[in-house]
Parts: sequence; structure tokens; C-alpha cells
Amino acid sequence: MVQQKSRTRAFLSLEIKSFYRFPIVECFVGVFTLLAFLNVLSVGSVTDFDVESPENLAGFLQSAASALLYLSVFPFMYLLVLLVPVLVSLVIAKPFEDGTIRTILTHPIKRSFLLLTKILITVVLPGTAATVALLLAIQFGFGIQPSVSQVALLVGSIWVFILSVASVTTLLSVISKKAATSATGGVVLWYSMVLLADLYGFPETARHVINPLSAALAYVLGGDGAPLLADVLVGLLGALSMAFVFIVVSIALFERSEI
Amino acid sequence: MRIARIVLVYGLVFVILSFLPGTVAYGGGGASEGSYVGTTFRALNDIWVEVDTDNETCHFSLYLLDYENTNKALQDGNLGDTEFLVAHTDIVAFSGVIRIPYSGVYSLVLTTQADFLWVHIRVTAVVPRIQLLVAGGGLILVVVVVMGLRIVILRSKAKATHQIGR
Repeated sequence: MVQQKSRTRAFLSLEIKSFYRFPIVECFVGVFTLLAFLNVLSVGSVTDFDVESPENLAGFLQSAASALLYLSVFPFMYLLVLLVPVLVSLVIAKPFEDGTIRTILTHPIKRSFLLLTKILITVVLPGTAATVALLLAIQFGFGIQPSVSQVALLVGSIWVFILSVASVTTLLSVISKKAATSATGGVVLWYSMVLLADLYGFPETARHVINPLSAALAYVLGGDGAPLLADVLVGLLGALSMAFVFIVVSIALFERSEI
Repeated sequence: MRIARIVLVYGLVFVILSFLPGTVAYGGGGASEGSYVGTTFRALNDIWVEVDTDNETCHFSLYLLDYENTNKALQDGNLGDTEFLVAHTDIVAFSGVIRIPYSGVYSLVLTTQADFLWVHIRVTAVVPRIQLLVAGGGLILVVVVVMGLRIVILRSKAKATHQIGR
């Protein structure tokens, strides 16, 4: 047990030193923090000071907090669609291409564990950077405290969205074994899926499963046509299930593949 | 070492953000004797406020209220028991920086003795945003100090090892 823990730690350390060299992590941190703050630092929306209708103030606080959350998280969506497939391709497909996967496989660890660890790090890195950036923006850049449930929903949907993008690109990487192919495939596939999901007439549930982050953002922003919380949760669950299936298939293919 | 670099990135990003200009928020409306005209907004740091009217001979008073006092004034329906953070009385126009003590929701409220006055209020954030600049600068300073101390400690250790070697 102790030996296994030490092997796992050694593998994790090697993985981070090999694939997450300076400035990959730092770029993620910087870009997410910049994006989280970029649109929320202005004075933003205002409301009339009207003694005839004091309830306006409560409405203003609610709508302003929701709008700030939306503005803070919305840029993440397109950034994640671009960055996560590239990161997954570099970490999973590139070792196949340059042959370093042979060296990695000399570690006394299971292939399934190896792939799972790689996926986990590719999810944890952007997920943590995005979450910390959002929480910092709320602390320093909002001036109004949004509701905890809205923040939790958005953070959860960010992580699920990253996982689903990472899982599909992992499958592409394991099948193609080429970094450029899987990166381009992942970016093009997700970009078109995100754009397709915004088209009028696209099935609502499929839209929420493909892009749970967009559904959660629409729910937080509210207004006409905003989805119900139940719909958003169904989307999150669907995206999680989809990611699980893709990861299982990727592991099965990886275990059978000849290297 | 890695953590120091990440903290340094946070510091640099905060410094960059503190210098980014913001958009202008507009408010105002028609004011008359006994009525209140104003705008409620979110402010993170000092704001630049411009107030002008359609009649430059009419005088008005301008008050800045924090969230608690905004709430109180709205509930009471008047500014009677309200504490003002800033008050400019008997003016015909205003243009300048208003200090904001902490981030939150504020209201600029205007009263006049005139029969009718059309008021335009423009609010924008002042750059650099001191709160972010101090946070960013502080983080960079902490990293520089820690790295400096680390270098000093490593050098003294290396020196001690070198002397033992002799």
C-alpha cells in the first residue's frame, strides 16, 4: 500500500514535471484571472434612486449580481473549448507520437490508472484556475455578494464542461495517437457543437448536455427563455454520463492498443 | 518555486487590471422641488462623477449614500435621517472624484429648489483601482522578498558547505 502510494506520487510528480512545465500552469492562471475580472470592473448597470418604489433596490442587487456572474464566467466557455483539447492532446496524444509513452509505461502502474491520472490533471488544472479566478473576482471585483447556490452551480458546470471536453478529446487522442489531429479535432468539434447548440430549434436537452455551462449561465442570468434549474441539472448529469462513457471507452481502447 | 511564479502571475494580472479603464454609467432624470433624483450603482473604488443640468442657473445639492443609508432613505421616503458620505450643497454643476471607502452599492441623490430641472449624471471608475493595485503590488512584493530571502539562505548554506569541504 505504502509502495503503491509512493509510486503514484512519483508518477504524478513526473507527469507534472514533464507536461506542465513553465509557463503552462501560469498561463492558465493568468488568462482565467484576467477574463474573470475583465468585464466586471466597470460601474456597470445602474438603477434610479426612486423613493416611490424602494423594492427596486432589491431587484437591482439581484440582477446586478447575476449579470456580474454571467460576465465573469461567459468568457471561460470559449477559452475552455480552445485550451482543453490542446492540453489533452499535448498530454495524451503527443507521448504516442514522440514515443515517450513507452518510457511512461515502464512505470509499475496500470494503463487505466495512467490515463485516468492524465485526464484528472487536465481537468483539475483549468478547473482550479477558473474556480480561483471566479472566487477572486467575486471577492475583489463584484462589490455585491451573489448567492452561494448560483456560484456553486456555475463552478460545478465549469468542472463538468471541462470534463466533457477533456473526455471527448481523450478518445480522439487515443484513437488518432496524433497531437495535431486530436487537438484540431477537439477544438473544431467542440466549437461547432457549442455554436450548433445555440441555434434555434436545437433540442433543449441536447443543448444542455453538450454545453452545461451555457445552460447554467442562462439560468443564472434569468429573463425570458431561461432554463429551469431542473433542466440545468439534467444537462449536468447528462454531460457527466457522456464523459464517463467516453472515458471508459478511451481506457478500453488504450489498454488494448499496441505501443 | 512554482507557487511563487503563480503568485507572481496573480500579482501582475491584478496590476494590469487596476489600470484598465471602465465604461461610463449614465443616470439622471427630471427633478423638482421636494423630489429626489438619483442613481444607484455598484462601486469598487473611487469614482469620477459628472453632473450637469439643462439650466445652469438653477442650484441643486448632491449627496452620496452608502448601501445602508440608501436602503433607509428608500424605506423612509426622504433623506431626513440619512447620513451622507459626501454632500455638495447649492451647486450648479459637479465634476470630480468622489472617494469610496469600501466596495459596495452607493447612491448619488440630487435635490433642488427649482420648479423643474433635467439632470444628467455620469459615473465612471477612477483608474488605477487602488484596491487591485495594492493587492497586486503586495503579491509581487511578497514573492520578491521571499525569493530574495531564499537566495540569501541558499548562498549562506552553500558557503557553509564550501567551508566544511576545505
